[in-house]
Amino acid sequence: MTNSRVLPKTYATLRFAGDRLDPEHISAILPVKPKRSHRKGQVFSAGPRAGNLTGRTGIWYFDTRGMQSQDLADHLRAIVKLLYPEPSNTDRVTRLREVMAREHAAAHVSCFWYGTHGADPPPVPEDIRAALALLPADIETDFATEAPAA
Amino acid sequence: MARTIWDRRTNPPKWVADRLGISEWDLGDALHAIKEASGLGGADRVTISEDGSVTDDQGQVIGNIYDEL
Repeated sequence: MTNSRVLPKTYATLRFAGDRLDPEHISAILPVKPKRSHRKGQVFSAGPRAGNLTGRTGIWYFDTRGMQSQDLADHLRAIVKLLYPEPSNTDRVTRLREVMAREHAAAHVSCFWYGTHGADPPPVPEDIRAALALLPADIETDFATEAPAA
Repeated sequence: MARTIWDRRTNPPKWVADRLGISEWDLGDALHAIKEASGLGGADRVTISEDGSVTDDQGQVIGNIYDEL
C-alpha cells in the first residue's frame, strides 16, 4: 500500500472511443502499446479478477501510471509527446484526425491527481491545453485530497 | 453475488477503501483508470462491490479494483 509521504499520486490518460473505431488504426499511428484496445462487441481480458468482458464501444486507451513523476505536467507532456514527436510535427495529429473523422471517434484526456490534505491541485498548463485542442481532445480532471486526520 | 458497498457518482470516501483493505488514494487511482479505460468519465455512476468488482449503470462489469493495484 502506498504511504502518504509519496503523495501526490498523479497520472494522465489518453483515450480514443467510438462505436465504429478500429483501435488498430490508432495503434498504426501512435508508437506505444495501449493498455486496453478493443472494438465494440469484442471480448477482451480486463484482468485476472474482472475476467473477460465485452467492449461496450471501440476503445484505444493508454495511461502514464508507470511514470514515476509526481508532477502532473510531466505526465501530460508525455501524452503530448506521443501526439507531437517534435513541436512542429503535426503528422500524427493529422492522421489521427482522419481516423477520428472516418470512424466517428472522439479523443479524451484525463488527469488524475490525489494530494495530501490541504494541498492545492496542479494547473493544466496552457500550452498543453492548446496542443490537445488541436486534435481535438477534451480534458477532464479528477482531483482529490486525503481526508483530514480524525 | 458480492454485496454492493458504493453506488454514487462521487468519489468513494475512505470507509469504502477501508472495506476493500486499500488506501483511499489507491482506490481513487484504480477507479479512475477503470472508468477511463471503459469510456466513462468521472461523473458517470458506477457500483463497487466488496469483492472489488466495478459495474456501470447498466449493471455490466467494467473492471475490478484489485486488478489495478
